[in-house]
Order: sequence, then structure tokens, then C-alpha cells
Amino acid sequence: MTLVKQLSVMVENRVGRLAEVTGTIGEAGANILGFSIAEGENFGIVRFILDRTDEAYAALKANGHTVSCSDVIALPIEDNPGGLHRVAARCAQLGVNIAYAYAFRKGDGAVLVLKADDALRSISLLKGDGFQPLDKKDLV
Amino acid sequence: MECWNQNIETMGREDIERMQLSSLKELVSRLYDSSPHYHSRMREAGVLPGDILSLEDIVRLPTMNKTDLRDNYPDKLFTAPPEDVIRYHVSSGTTGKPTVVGYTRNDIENWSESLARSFASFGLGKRDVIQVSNGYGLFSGGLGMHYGVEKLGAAAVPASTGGTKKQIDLIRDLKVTAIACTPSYLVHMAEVAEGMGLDFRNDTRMRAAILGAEPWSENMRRHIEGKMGIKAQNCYGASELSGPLFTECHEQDGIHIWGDLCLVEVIDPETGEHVGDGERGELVFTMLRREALPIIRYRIGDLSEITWEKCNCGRTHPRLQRLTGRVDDMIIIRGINVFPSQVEHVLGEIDEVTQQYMMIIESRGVMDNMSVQVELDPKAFTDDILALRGISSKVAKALQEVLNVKVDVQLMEPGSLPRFEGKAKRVIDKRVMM
Repeated sequence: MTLVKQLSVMVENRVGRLAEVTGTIGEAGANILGFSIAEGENFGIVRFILDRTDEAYAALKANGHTVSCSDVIALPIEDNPGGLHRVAARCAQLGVNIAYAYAFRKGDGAVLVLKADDALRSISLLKGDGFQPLDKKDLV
Repeated sequence: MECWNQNIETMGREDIERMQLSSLKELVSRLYDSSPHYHSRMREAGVLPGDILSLEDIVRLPTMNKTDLRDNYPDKLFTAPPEDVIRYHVSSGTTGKPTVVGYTRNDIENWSESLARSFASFGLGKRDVIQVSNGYGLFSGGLGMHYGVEKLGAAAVPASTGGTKKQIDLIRDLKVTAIACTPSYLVHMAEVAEGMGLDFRNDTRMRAAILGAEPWSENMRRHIEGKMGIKAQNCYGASELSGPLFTECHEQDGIHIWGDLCLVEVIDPETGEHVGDGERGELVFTMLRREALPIIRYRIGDLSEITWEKCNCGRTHPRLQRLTGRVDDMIIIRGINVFPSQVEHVLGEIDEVTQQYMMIIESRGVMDNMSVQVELDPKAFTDDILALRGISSKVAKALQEVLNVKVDVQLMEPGSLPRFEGKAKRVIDKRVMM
């Protein structure tokens, strides 16, 4: 199954708290491939795609951070006008509901990280439609 | 049952009340003769020492409260000769002047006796090593506990507050079997110990905690007992009454108030009349043997109930049920009485959140708005924001059901709310009083 592990960290809305999280990840020797921040009133959720997920998870836990690991879908998209739209439109036609998404550049193209309602069903629909979801090896 | 003082602790109610009446008569006569303040208060109330013929006659005596102590700063209410005073404790004055409590040798002796009986009632004895992590100094908690521990014949570790990691090392190295502190400090200590990789169950000999100085709930007790594998005993006292004085026995079914030392009444805070047996009201204390600073019909501000039913442990003295709030802790929101203890209770029933919380009350236009910030249980954290919102709504709904007030609930990152080593200050009232 071509799902990618993502770490989500609960981060208090306070100056310096994000730096404590990123410091821990850096010290654990994990490289951040892509990330996003969702803001809330008193805390945000920072989501990371990392090369060394397990090491970062252990280090974050040990430093008292609140962290969870979940599965997301990483799709290659073209880095040109309409690139995102082609994926979004297909998801709409396939009935794949997206909870959130973020993207980062990778080589000549880009990678779209998707959190879909039912990851397994969504990924098989996407694969059936000719998409080739990336796994961690493709991303590093 | 191991009693510290078998005869006294198990005597019948009639005998206790006979002792109380004779001490009360003696106290009132002494005050009438030796204290100008009490003399004039009694004259104003139209009562003479000879009018006290039964315990019920106590209602004829005027009550006193913290204001009396403040207004008579530092020692105008003392009745012992100055040379007989051997110690002072001073309580911090959060509003206005501090209050000063003086002690004669007998006052210290009775205070320690009360605690020694209490400690023995849940199985502590001379083989125990008791870490006193209440503040030492002007605050009566640390030294009070310390003298109780020594009276019992156990070994005291006078750790006082702060230096949590060092305290945990001492618990392990000195084979400490019990600790006295505030419940919130013990929870903090358990968190720190976890971070140090120390497991209270396997790495220490701790088996009991004596917890007081701030309100706490049955849920908090379950949490502490479950997490640390110890018995968590509720302790009651106040600096005006001497300091920490009474605890539960091993049955954990109410705090034994030693009737030969202390007479407790329960009154309706509005009318001042006695409520029925087992009914909730405001506690009024008379310390029957105090010499330096007499405390007579002292309205301490705590709300609870008293039962004279004999405890399963065999002790006969009246038992104080869990405090349900303080007359002055009570917050009025949109005309409804709310106690922080209710919030704590609700939070304890919900697995996804901890009992680390803050209550914030603000004026929103002409209305009051209450929000509760509560730390998420780390195990309940999920990447799914809708699920987190679901937890907030669940907490809000549960609070609203109990409090009858709409509450905004904000989940917080674990560890982000303030920790308190002394009394927890969990209410921030930002309302503009007009």
C-alpha cells in the first residue's frame, strides 16, 4: 500500500513553541520533506513529512510533545498552471473527499499531500484512475 | 484498628459532647474574663458565661471571621501571656493585612496530637518515613505536618516546596513511605517522575499521601491512586485553626474531626441557623483548647456537611464530608452559583482531557462569559481537527449539564497551563465590576 507516514504535533499558541518542535526534529537527525501548519485558537497542528519519521516521533515524545502519526496520500502533480486542478477535479469525479492538503516542490514537479476521509478506499480509487501515489522512497 | 489514642477516638457521642460542653464553658469563662475583645462582643450579644448550659447554647455566642483577625493585627486577640507564646505563623494576606496566629506549648502539643491520631488512622506509624513537601516557614503547613510526624515517631523529611527532581530522588533514596503536599503538586511530581523514568509503584516505597490546602475531587483521588499505586488521604485544616489538623482514616469516608479538640457546627450561610444533621452548610469551628489565639465560632467560609454516624473504622468522632466549595470561592455567573470543584469533577469523568484546567470569566457586553481551558490527554490527540472539536463539545455539554451555565471549552496542549506548587489558582475573573 502506498501510503506515507505523517507526524502531527499539537503546538501551543506561544512564541517559541514551534522552534522547540523543529529543534527536537533537527536534533533527532530527521529532515523535513514537507510541512504545514493549521492554526487554532490556543494551539495549532503542525504536520510533517520526514525522512526519519520513527526517530523524530521518539524524540518528540521523549521531549514531552503531543504527537500522533497518521497515513496520508502523496501524489505527484505537474508544476504548471492547472496542475492542482487536474488532481482536484479527478478527486471530485471519483468522490474522494479531502479533509486537508498541502504541497511542496520536488525536482521538476510538485508533491500534493492529501488527507482523504477513507485513505484505503481513496488510494485504490486514485490508483484505478491511473494516479501513481508516491511512497517514502520516492520522496527522500 | 490501630488507634493512637484508643479511649478518646472511640468514646460514645454523649461522652464526647459532655467533654465539649465542659471545655466550652471553661473557654467562654476564660475569654469573658481575660479578653477585652470577647468581653465586649459577648456583652453586645447579650450573653454571659453562665448562659451556656448546653451545647446548643453555643448559637448565642457571636461568630468571628477572618476580618476579626485582620482588624486585630497582629496579636490583639491573643489571650496567653506573651512569654507563653512559643511560635507564630503568618498567613499571606492576598487582600489587605496578613493574619497572625500564635501558639503556646500546649497549642503545638494539641495540634501535633491531632495529626498523630490522623496519621495513625490510615496506618502510618513509627516505621514510616514521611516527606513533608508543604511549605516551611510562615505558612503553617510544613512545620505543622513536621511536628505531627515527629509526634507519631515517624521520620520527617523536611523537603518543603520546590526542587521537584531532588524531592523525587529523596523519595527513592530515603525510602520515603508517605508524602504530605498539595494534590496539584503531587500530580506535578508524578509527571516529573515519569519524565525521569521513575515509576512510583516499583521504584519507591511510597504508599500514602496526605493531601490538602486546596480543593480536590474524588476523581483526582482515583487518578493519583491509580497512577502512583498509593492511598491518597484528604486532609483538612486552616491556619486560623492551627494549620493542617485532620484527615480521613483508611476507610476514606469523611475526615475525622477530633471532638475533644474542636467543635464544628454547620450553619445556613444566609440565616446563621444550624442546618439539620447531615445537611450541607457553612462550617463554623470552635477550637476548644486553644490558648494563645482563641478561635470561637469561627466562620471559615468552607461549605460541607458533618455526620455523627460511627465510621466503619470504629472511630466515633464527627466526620466532615468532602468540601463542596467555599463561600468565597463561589463564582456567580449570570446569577448562577458555580464552584471550581464542580468543573474539576466533570473533567475527571472525561477520559480525553486531564484535570489541568483554568476557568476564565469575562464580561461580554452585559453578559458574563465563562470559558474553561483544559489540557488534552496526550493519548487522545489526533490529527483530525473535527475529532478534537468533538472533544471540546463533549466537555462543554457535560459542564453545561452540571453547572447550568453555557461554557466555552478550549482544548490546550498538554503541559501548557500553569502548574501550582502551593494553592492552585485556577480562576481568572476578568469581569469589570460596575
